Amino acid sequence: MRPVSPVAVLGAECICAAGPTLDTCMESMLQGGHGPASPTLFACEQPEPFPVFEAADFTPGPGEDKYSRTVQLLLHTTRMAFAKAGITPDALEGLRVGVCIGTSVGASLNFLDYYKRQKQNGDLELAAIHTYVRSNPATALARRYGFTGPAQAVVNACSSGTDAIGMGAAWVRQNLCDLVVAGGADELSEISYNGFARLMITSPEQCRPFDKNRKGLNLGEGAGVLLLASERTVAKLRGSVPAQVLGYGTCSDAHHLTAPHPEAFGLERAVNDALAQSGLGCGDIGFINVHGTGTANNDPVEGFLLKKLFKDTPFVATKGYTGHTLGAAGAMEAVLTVAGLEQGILPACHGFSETDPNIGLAPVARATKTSARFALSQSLAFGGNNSAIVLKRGDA
Amino acid sequence: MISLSGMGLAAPFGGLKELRAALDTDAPSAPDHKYRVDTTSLTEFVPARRLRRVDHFTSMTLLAAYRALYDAGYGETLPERMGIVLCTGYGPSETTFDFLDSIIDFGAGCASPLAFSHSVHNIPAAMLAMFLKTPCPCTTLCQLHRPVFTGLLTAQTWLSEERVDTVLLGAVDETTPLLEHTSNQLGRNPVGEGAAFFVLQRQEERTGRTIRLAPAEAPKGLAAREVLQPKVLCGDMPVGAAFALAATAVRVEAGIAAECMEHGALIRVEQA
Repeated sequence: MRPVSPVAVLGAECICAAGPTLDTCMESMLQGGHGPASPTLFACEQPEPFPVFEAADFTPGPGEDKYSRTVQLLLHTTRMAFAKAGITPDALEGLRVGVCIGTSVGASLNFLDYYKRQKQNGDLELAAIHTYVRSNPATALARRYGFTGPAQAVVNACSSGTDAIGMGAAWVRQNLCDLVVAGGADELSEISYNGFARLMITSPEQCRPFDKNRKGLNLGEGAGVLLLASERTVAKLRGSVPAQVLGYGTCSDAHHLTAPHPEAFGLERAVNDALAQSGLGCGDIGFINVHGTGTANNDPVEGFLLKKLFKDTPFVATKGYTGHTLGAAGAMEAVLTVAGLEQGILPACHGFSETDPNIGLAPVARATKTSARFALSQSLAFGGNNSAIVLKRGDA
Repeated sequence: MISLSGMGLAAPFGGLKELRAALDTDAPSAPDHKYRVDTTSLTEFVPARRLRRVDHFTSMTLLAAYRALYDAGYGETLPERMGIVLCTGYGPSETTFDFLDSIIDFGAGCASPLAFSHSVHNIPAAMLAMFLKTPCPCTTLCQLHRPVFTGLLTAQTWLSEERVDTVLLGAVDETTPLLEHTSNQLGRNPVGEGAAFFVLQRQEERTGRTIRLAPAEAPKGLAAREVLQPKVLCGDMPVGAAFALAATAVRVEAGIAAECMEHGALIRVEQA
């Protein structure tokens, strides 16, 4: 791939179990965070309970009850991102604003109760259907704000958020939009909870990314948003630029539906494409936010590629604070990567304590200062999808 | 604009040949049965043994994709540096409800992991990449509003930034008893299903057909010359515009000017 021009990040925000804003998340993570707990949003009907990370400090905005929880999380985070960037709705008038959002649960026909009643009784009231129809995350956000640019919901499972940011950046670069709200959102759902439990990849305790004794992932929920803008838009809005999106790569392994390629074939190509678009080499990357689910399959594959390309580069795995937020994960981790670059500090990998000899690498084990100018955030997904983005510190 | 090098359909009425025949009649009529796609001819492209665990949504995906590649002149040899973009309104509905059925019928502790993994919305595109033995950029979009338009936009973006040289763009939806029931409750047209695929390339690298496409916002007051209301032939489905796009391309190729619209967005179709 050829190098492309950088795209400004005007704002970055997230919500997850670690906190309702990026600042509270970082503060919580740097203080050690807290662990997962039994789900309260739905009844656990698995023989063995699996703890989750719920976004607790969160109330939907006025008039947002009609949307799914996924959309409510997304709207909350977008509001925070605009507010933090000092951008008021009237400042956006006349701009071509696009929306590119990754999701998994947020676009699924997951109305279990409605379906159960329909199977038992036939005709029913259609509230669940109406909520579904109005709750596509990208469309709902675009309509809520009256944006007229393209609106796209990316459903590449756990890499969706990373993909949405990469595609949103291309829209700005190719002058399809002046500003793009790019990111991801997903709520905790009993459907995915039961699905992951039945795939036997959820942990009965705090997840332990890259640890020798890891037992699987903890599900979580949240949203992450980057406000991506052209140079002209930055000037018009007189915004500050905490970071830039440099490059994006994506590649499906075409190997296995639920397991990554053991030698990280697709991930390597995704990372190399992201670096090539950025005009950077592996040695330029100051730290990496890895996917780090804590499952038996994921961590060794990431470790394989880290050893091959980034042997001495520090890497962080943040799902020990957030849980695995599926379609939101890549976006939330991109937001946390922006915070790491901007604040110059990386949180410890919560849950990690002992290096797995089969991986031979350890994530950042305690809060660590960094002066990195460039960082990589990578995501792996069901279907063998792999995606990566390169971010640059705004003042670097 | 980008070049359309090939098209393939897996529709209730059949494929591209049947679409042409339907367009040549004065008033294409709806079939007298449910809008259901027959995918048995997929075995012309893939041995039946490999299709044992392939669900209906993915079967439609594979059939239309293989037909599009063959229409573009690709047989055993695939385009180099290809990407896959798949757009859908509901995703793989049947496997989604299969998983819900397994929870309802057997309890959460015995729910089907296979149905769950196949209900994840990017699995059909991933399976297409696996069947084609092509590791490549592969993305799935899911939305009721303008799914085909945004799929085309992503294809155009990937070609423009030279992420790939060819995009296999697909649009797929399937019907299920619940969707039919709900649609009936809402008083809407009968739900349909089908898959339409397009082989797209940068203009300078085109092969096969001589049609070019571009997604664009429709100018105010545009009186679009639409050639097909897809609901008639395929039933009501979110990606119906993909069949209208195929029909428009057929017409434009025959020298008849036409446009394709999707929820107020315009897909320009021209002879190259």
